[in-house]
Amino acid sequence: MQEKFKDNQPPGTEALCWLCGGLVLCILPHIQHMPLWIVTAAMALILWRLGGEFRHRPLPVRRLPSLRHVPALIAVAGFTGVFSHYHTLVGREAGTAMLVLLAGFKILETRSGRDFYVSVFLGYFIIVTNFFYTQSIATALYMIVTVAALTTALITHNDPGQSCTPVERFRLAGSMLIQAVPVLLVLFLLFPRISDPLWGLPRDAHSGHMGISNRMEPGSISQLSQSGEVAFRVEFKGPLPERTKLYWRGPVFGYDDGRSWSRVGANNPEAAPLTASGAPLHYTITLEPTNQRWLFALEMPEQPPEPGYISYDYQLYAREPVQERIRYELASHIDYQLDASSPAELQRALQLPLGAHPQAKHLARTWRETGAEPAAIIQRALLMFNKENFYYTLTPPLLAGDNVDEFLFGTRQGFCEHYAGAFVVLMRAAGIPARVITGYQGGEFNPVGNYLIVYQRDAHAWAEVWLDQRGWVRVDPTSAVAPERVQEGIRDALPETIRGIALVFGGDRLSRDLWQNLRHTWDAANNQWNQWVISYGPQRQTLFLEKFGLGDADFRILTLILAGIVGVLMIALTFWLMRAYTPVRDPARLLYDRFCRKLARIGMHRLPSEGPVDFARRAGKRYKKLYEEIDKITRLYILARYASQNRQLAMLRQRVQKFKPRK
Amino acid sequence: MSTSFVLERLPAPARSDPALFANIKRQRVYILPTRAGIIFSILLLAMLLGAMNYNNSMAYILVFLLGGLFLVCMLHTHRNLTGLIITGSRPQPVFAGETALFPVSIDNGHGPARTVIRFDCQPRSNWLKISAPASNAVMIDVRPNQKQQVRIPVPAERRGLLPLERVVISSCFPLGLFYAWSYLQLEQHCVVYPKPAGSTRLPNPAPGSRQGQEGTHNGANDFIGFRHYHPGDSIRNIAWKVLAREQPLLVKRFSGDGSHTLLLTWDDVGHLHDVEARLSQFCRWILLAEQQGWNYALAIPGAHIEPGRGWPHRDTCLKALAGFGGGHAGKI
Repeated sequence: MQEKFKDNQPPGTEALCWLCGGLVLCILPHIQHMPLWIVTAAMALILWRLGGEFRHRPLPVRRLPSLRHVPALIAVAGFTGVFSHYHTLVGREAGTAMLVLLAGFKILETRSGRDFYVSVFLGYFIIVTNFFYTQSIATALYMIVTVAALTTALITHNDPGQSCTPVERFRLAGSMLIQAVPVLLVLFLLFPRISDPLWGLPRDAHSGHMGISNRMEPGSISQLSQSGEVAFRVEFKGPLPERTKLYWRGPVFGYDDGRSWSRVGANNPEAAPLTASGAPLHYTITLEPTNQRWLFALEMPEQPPEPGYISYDYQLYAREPVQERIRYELASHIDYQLDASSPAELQRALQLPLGAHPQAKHLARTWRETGAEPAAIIQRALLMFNKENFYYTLTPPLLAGDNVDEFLFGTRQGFCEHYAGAFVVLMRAAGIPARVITGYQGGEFNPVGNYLIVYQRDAHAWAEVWLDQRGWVRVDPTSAVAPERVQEGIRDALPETIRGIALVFGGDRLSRDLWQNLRHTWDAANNQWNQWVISYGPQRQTLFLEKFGLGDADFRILTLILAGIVGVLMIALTFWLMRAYTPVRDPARLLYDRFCRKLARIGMHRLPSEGPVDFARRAGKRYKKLYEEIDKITRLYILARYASQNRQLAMLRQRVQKFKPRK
Repeated sequence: MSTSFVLERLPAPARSDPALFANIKRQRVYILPTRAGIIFSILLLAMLLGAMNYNNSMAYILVFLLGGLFLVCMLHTHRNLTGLIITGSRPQPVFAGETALFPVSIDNGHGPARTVIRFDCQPRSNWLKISAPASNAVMIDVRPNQKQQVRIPVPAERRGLLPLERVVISSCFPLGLFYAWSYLQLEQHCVVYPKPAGSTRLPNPAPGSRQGQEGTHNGANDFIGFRHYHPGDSIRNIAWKVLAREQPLLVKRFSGDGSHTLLLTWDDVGHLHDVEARLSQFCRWILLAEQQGWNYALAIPGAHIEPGRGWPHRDTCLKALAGFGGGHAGKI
């Protein structure tokens, strides 16, 4: 049991295995976004170290002159590689790549205890870098496993005598982590959150958000149609409106440059008031980050959310680009009239680029020359889409030349942006003010979480036209071609193949419902996770604290409360850890104690220093009549206790029960 | 001589022998982060700043989880020491230049399993290091309900009474992020005999025994019978053949027993000027005389020991040498 203690002892093989395992777990998720060679190189270095450990090959950094410079060369090569890939060595992505490589090199030269600790800490740090890319529930579970592996490595290193088995050590790591959870919860909920970054975020901090973009051209919306990513989730205070009414208004485009649609001029924040009938619908939207300033709202919102504003064309804006998930409350009127507009605005809504779309302009002019009312012209255009052979497709052919003319008179296959764009061009050419609205249409109700999920694939484009009596009226030309798009949602308007795993479950209704149910539960769990974990920031914290009457607590009070609760937790945990340990006593020992008590009653006490055999001899000498019985019981006890024989235990019990010593 | 400590919070059941646990004191257990612990907390701080900057909830979670782990680790490390009952007992005498081993028993009582507890008799302020320096520390694990004994090695450099200096009992288990320790002032002393040395031959036996010595070399004369063995009898006089017949342990008696007496006096070492050298010479002589089966007596200033032989006698003489000139002679 005793052994000399060595200073800064080198890690044992088992500790090293746990460390390497933990590091592999840390590095593995980075394979999704890091050049493959970096991850491969780090893995190879870890394997090299493990191979050296098991085959007792010398480490490259030790005495062998031929190998001494190899790691340095690899390191230089590695860092050069990182630089040439990212064109920098700092910043989020390059920094992470450097850390991963560094972990590989550190493990390769891990010989002393100090190196070991540094490697483990490096591992903990690499775990954190992964959260730049994903913060899902699965990531959290994976994190726990990784932390447990690294913690087990620390425990193993600190138990060089191997007094516990690997399973016991892993269990100890797990129980320590579980004991840390109360502290985690308190800190997470109460640690004062700040809304502004401490230092500037690197330029690559918010990249790669997909969604509706700030201009519309053929293909810009259909590329979203395959995306299962969530755009936003909506919780309605009352009943859900009809699906055909679910037009989620996003960017409004009024300027046509011949190729694409974009916004006109400055955003005049003065919006004309809405004429609405009926009670408004109240709802809360949780918007995924878009890195854009616009917000989405059910047509038509009364007031902008706080903080935000409504522009003249009823587009909602936030004050800052939405870089993380936000929540905002709105009230909208399904039945509304947008009947006030300035002449300048109507003039802008007739803009068409000179020389573009000649065929479309010609067609619209022939309609206008018939002297028909604007309503009749709209009807005529929709009838054209409906009766002539126009197709609604996800994969429209590429348009060469003037894309409106090419679509209307050539391919005649398009997605919603084709129809909306062409329709607005026709209207404007016919002298009817019109504009393109983009956003989302429909959504999927989640009965588990009781909210509506709007996916990126629900992205849609439609039109608004100005009619003198009625103001701005929504016209959805897509519904003329594919009415099911609006009535049933995009999922039924699209071919089977992109409906995902539903097909794996077979075509029948029961299994499809089952799959739907699973999906809804999973999304509800994700929604809760997003609301309470990922989006837990200054706003949420204030809301949470208000429940305890601490809404206006500044960070000093918060810190005091925090320290108090953590202190109480620690004291409670101390008592729990120190609780009187009641070990399971050996049954044979219990029986033997009973036997001794019986003997003590007649004045035969066992001395603390006396073993069972000596005691039996002494007792037997004193009570000759009992000698045989005492001897038998002692023998049985020794067998039952030290040879672990159950049969003897039963016999021992029998004999001890019958044992009735008399003087 | 023997003292017991309970490291804080004694789970005190009634002890069978109260005398042994009479001197129970409650000890304070100190705890500080190790250097690894400090690096770990700096790392956590860096991660926290990153989490705040990016407002990344998962990063917050990891930082707080590791922060909680840090605190939990502190409790675990502290618990590794608290509640142990530590009892010192008298060590075996050693010769100067050897290593004294102080037996210390550790009783876990009803505590949880203790892992890697370190005993270190030469305390240094080493909490800043990841691990303590390689001194003569010993490590031990104690399971629940178990009693273990360690022997703390202390180099015995000079003859006399070697006290057990302040013992540091410490632990870094489980994560090595904290160093918990406590001081034990066990009132243990080890008798250190002088180092046997010197090249002077044994002095001649006392005049009264000269006659008996002529016939033999080893102070043994004609065999006159057996007697029962007493601890301390020279093993060269044991009747091995009798023992081989599975009879009790007997010792051969010789007619010359008790008549060959060496009187070791201060004058015999008069040619050595250094007191320690004289004591070393005495020590060697005593060992030689004992080995050769002589009766011997010791007469040095402050101690006068009657002739005799056997291990108890030898030890009495050696203790007299160890305590020579010191005020603590009586204590030995």
